[in-house]
Amino acid sequence: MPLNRDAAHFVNVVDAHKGIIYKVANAYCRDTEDRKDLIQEITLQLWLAFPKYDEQFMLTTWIYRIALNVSISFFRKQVSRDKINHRLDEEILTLITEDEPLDLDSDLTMLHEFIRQLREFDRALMLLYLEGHSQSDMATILGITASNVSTKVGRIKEQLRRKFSTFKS
Amino acid sequence: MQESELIELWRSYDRKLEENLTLNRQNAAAITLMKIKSVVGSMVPMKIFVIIVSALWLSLVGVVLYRTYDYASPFFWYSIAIHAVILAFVTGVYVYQVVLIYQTDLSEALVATQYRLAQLKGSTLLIARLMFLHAPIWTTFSIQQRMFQHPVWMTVQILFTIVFVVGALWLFFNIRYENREKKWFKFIFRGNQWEPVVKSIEMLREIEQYKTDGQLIT
Repeated sequence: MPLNRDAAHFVNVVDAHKGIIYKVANAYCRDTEDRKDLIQEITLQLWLAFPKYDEQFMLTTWIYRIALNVSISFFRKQVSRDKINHRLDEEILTLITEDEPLDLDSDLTMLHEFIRQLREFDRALMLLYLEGHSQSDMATILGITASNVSTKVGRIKEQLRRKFSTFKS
Repeated sequence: MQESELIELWRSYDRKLEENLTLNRQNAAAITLMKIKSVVGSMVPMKIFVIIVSALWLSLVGVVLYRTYDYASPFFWYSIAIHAVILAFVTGVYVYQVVLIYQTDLSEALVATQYRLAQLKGSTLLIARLMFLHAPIWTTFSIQQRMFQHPVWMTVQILFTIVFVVGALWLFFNIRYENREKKWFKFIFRGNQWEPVVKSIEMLREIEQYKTDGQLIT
């Protein structure tokens, strides 16, 4: 059945995939205020692209592509973004435990920190890997070959392993 | 840390998010009511305006060059001809940028889209280089043959033009990403509008690295 492209359905799509949007934004933006802006920008770009969504791709693939593309470009276009887009007073995604950070144990905090230290494309790869995507999915989202994905993921995992062991020793 | 532990760690984060993350549906719906063009698309009108104005100016300059070929001062004629050629290149870069903008689709694969966006932003540096290259003609187009009858004037003029030519050529060849940390580079390209340009070139390098590491697919 073809996807309904009206605003109500769009909000449902965002609701169903809010975790992806948040995780991607969180990986590319440490600052809370910038992250709110980034989440708004991702939602806006998803809405602008929604009428052109090609159903031959899975919805999650489409959302990842837009969320990652917007996040990677985000740091480069801060000035023009400020000029054009209206900032909503309130945020789109809210963490219930807003006043205090999520109760992340130290390993998870460390993992987030390590991910943020990766270069933009490696960060995207690691996110997709941790989310459990297949190599072929990752290849489709990034636009590189599956064998390239395999090599790079292997290298990044090795980097992470080394960082964890250095940190813990 | 083992691979399975890593995945389990991430899943625990997922579970925590699922319990704590809520969508403000009203704000999400407000996004759908915004009358906003995409950021990339919003650059088009200004670029098209520049292309049209440049094309009109080039046509006018072309007519002047054609009509004055027989009697104009060679300094004037060749200076304006060089101006026209460089401006034609600059206009070409603007046309290239508009094509890139129309080709940009954020729902396409990451590497290809980022490469296009980085090329788009990075090409702004080429425009700056061409504009610097163009500077010496402003010292030559008004030279008259009779000025050469005054040695002092002629010496000043030649020195002035040489300084501009050397400076313009030096800047044209040295305005490169590799020199981004040099003081003179930072002095010329300071400010918020240039930072994304330098970052875009950095991104282009990173993508080139991806290209050499493995085959890209579309």
